Amino acid sequence: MIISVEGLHKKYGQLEVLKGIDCTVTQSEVLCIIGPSGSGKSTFLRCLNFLETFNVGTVTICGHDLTKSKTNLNLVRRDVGMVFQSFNVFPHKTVIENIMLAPMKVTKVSKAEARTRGMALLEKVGLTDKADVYPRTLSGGQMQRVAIARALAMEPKVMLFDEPTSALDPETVGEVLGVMKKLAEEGMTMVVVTHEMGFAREVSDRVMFMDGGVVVEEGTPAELFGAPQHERTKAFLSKMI
Amino acid sequence: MTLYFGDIFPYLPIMLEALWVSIYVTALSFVVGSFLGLFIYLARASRFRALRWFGRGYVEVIRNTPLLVQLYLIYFGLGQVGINFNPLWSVLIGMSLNNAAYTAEIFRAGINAVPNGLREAGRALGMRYDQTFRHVVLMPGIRNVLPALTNQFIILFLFSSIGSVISLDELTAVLENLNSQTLRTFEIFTIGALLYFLTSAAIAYGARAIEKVAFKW
Ligand SMILES: Nc1ncnc2c1ncn2[C@@H]1O[C@H](COP(=O)(O)OP(=O)(O)OP(=O)(O)O)[C@@H](O)[C@H]1O
Ligand SMILES: [Mg+2]
Repeated sequence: MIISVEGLHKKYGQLEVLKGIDCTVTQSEVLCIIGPSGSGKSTFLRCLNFLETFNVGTVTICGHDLTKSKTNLNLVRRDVGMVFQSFNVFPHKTVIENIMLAPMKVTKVSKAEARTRGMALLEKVGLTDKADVYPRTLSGGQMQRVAIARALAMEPKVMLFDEPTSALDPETVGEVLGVMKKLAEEGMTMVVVTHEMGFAREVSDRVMFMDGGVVVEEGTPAELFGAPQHERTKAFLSKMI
Repeated sequence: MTLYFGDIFPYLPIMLEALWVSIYVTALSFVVGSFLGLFIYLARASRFRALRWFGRGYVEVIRNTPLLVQLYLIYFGLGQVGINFNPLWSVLIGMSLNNAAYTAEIFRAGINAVPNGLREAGRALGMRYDQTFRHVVLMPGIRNVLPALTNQFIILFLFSSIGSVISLDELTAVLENLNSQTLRTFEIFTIGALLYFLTSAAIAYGARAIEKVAFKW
C-alpha cells in the first residue's frame, strides 16, 4: 500500500471541507479524482503531502505516518512529487536549473550529476532543446512538462497531480497528458485530480468521484463511467460530457 | 530685474563638492539602512511574537514622525544626555534609521507579492523553509522590490537636504551660504534644484539599466 487514508476530516475555520475520506492506493496504481468545483479535491490531494494540515484521521504515504508529530515532512515530500495547476516553475531559474535545484539542495547530488539526470528527464518530457532558456519564453504546456520533470528529479515513489491541464490552451493539453500517460505506463503510482474525462477513462485504474467533501462513489473507469450508481455521479458526468 | 547666471559659475565647483557630500551621505545611509530594514522585515515576518511586535512598532514610530524631528532628537536630544554625534554622524544615523523603516515595508510588500505557489512548489520538493526562501522566494522578491527601492533611494537623496539644519555641508547648506554671500537667490537655487534633479534622474536611469542587465529572466 503506497497511500492509505482513513477518516480524513479537514476544516477551514467553521467550514468542513473534507468529511471523512477513506482511500487506498497501491503500487503502480493510477487513481483519478473527479468532482465539481469546491468538492475538496485539491484539499484532499494537498493533505497527502501535508501542504495542508488536517484535523482528524490518518494518512500514511510511502511508509510515513503523517499523524506522527516526529515524522519529518521534508523526508515525506522527497517521496511524493506534486504538480500544480499553475505550474509554479521558478521564473529566475532556467529550465535545467529548475530541475537541478531540489536534488542539489535536498539530496546533495553533485551539480554534474544533477545536470545529467536533469537532461535525461528533459528528454523524457521532450524538452531537451529548452534546457537553458528561462521559463518566461515557454508555453503553458512546456512549463507544465518542466514542472513534471522537476518533480521526477527527486525520484518520487508517488506523483500527485492537481488539475495539471486546467490552465492550458486546448492545443497543449495533449502534450502534457501524453507525458503523464507514459509515466503511468512505466509504473509510476499516480493520484490525478482532473477534468479530463478521456484521460481518466483511458489511463486510470480507478476513478473516485468526490462531492461536498465526501467520496460519493469509486470504481474502475468502466464501472464509474459506464454504470454510475449514484444520482450525483450521473448528474456530474452528464454535465461533463 | 535681470538674472546673472554668469556670476554663479565660479561657485559651481563648490556646489559640486557639496553635491558629492549629499550623494555619499545618502548612499551610506541607504546601504546601512536597507540592511537594517532587511532585519526589521525578518523580525516582522518572524515566528516570535515579541520580534514581530518590535518590528511593527519600529516601522510605525519611524514612519509617523518627521525625519526632521528624528534628526533633532539625535543631534540635540542625545547631546543633552551626553551622547554627542557630529553633524555628519547625526545625519548618517538619522537617515539610516529612517530608511530602515521604509525599506522594511518595501521588502515585506515585495516578498509577499511572490506567488505562494512558488513557495509551495519548493516545499513540495522537500526543501526546508529556509532553503525555499533562499532559492525560490528571494530572487523574485528582490526583483519585485527594485523599482520601489530606487524610488526610496531618490526620496532619501532629496531628504538629505535636511542636513543643512544642523549645518552639515551638503548641497542645500552650501546653497544657503552662497545665497547669503551673493544674494543671487533665484540663480543659486535654480542651479541647486537642477543639480538635485539631474542626479535623481541619473540614479533612476542607472537603476533601470542595472535591472535590465541583472534580470534576464
Ligand atoms: N485556504 C482556504 N481557506 C478557506 N477555505 C478554503 C481554502 N482553500 C479551499 N477552501 C474551500 O474549501 C472548499 C474545497 O476547496 P478545494 O480547492 O479543495 O476544491 P476543489 O474540489 O479542488 O475545487 P476546484 O475544482 O475548483 O479546484 C471550497 O469550498 C473552498 O472555498
Ligand atoms: Mg482544485
